Amino acid sequence: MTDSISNTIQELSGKVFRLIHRIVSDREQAKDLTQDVFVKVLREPERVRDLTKLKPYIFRSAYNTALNFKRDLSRRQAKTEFIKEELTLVNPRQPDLLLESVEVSNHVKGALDSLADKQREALMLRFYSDLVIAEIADVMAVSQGSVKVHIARGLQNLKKCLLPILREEKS
Amino acid sequence: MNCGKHKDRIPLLILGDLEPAEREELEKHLQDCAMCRAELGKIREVARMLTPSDSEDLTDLEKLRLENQIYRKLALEATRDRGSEKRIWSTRMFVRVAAAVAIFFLGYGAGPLVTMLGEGEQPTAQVAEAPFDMTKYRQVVASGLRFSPEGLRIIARGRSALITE
Repeated sequence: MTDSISNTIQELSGKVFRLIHRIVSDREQAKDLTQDVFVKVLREPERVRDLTKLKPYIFRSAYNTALNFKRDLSRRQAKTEFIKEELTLVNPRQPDLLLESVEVSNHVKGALDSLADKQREALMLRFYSDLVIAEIADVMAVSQGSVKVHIARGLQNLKKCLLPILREEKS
Repeated sequence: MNCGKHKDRIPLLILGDLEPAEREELEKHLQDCAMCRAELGKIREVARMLTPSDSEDLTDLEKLRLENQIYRKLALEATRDRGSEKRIWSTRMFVRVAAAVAIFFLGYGAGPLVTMLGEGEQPTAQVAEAPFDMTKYRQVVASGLRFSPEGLRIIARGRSALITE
């Protein structure tokens, strides 16, 4: 059991961090929240007893924890502060690239926020946590067919939102 | 040309989530349909924008520290659950005694031992790097954790006591 728990932590910590980081946009905060998620889940004996359910539960908990944090934060902070945090993460020796990547990143975040909840969740689990369709279905407690529909519709809707940027990049 | 069904499958083709027969059918359609090829290019671009860069990942050291913090917090939680101040003090005493023994060994015991090991050895460098030996640290941390049959219950003893400090 100890090995399984250790393996679970080693296997998932990076993926959980990436998911949370993408949602909260703050590296240090994402590390703290990742710790909180694992501690919260692993200290509950009923979760640990059934290891097959542990992985989906960790991702569900990570997603909800990050969303709640972001919701609380946005109540307290102006949106411009998010951008300041982004700026510190990129190489300051490349100011043009920096502004461009921050701009694109903000567009993508805005587009993701505009999606239906299920579409956004499915896309985030697919892209940021590297989960396969079956795993996403476990996390979201829906069928694999539904996950495919959420992902396909989500990407199509994102394309509509991001069309101006896509055109700019081509021209 | 009826593209509705094919357009819905384009995102799944990019992500490699189509069944082989569906993929074959869509690839055949893409050869003949310029509109769907353009759609494929745009969705691929969106997927590229969503893909996180390597710089967003944790470094090995960050990952190790994060994992150790998780173990440490779990160990602290378990100690707190027991509500035993006495136990915390006993583990702290254990750590202090262990530290004293280690210092004594390093001061008086390690010297002759290093001489016996032969030339070219740099024991001071090894000591300096010890806290960053990820594999060893992970093993030490993991070995201090025990789980009882009814579920997770971490017992802070021996090595895990070092982590709770």
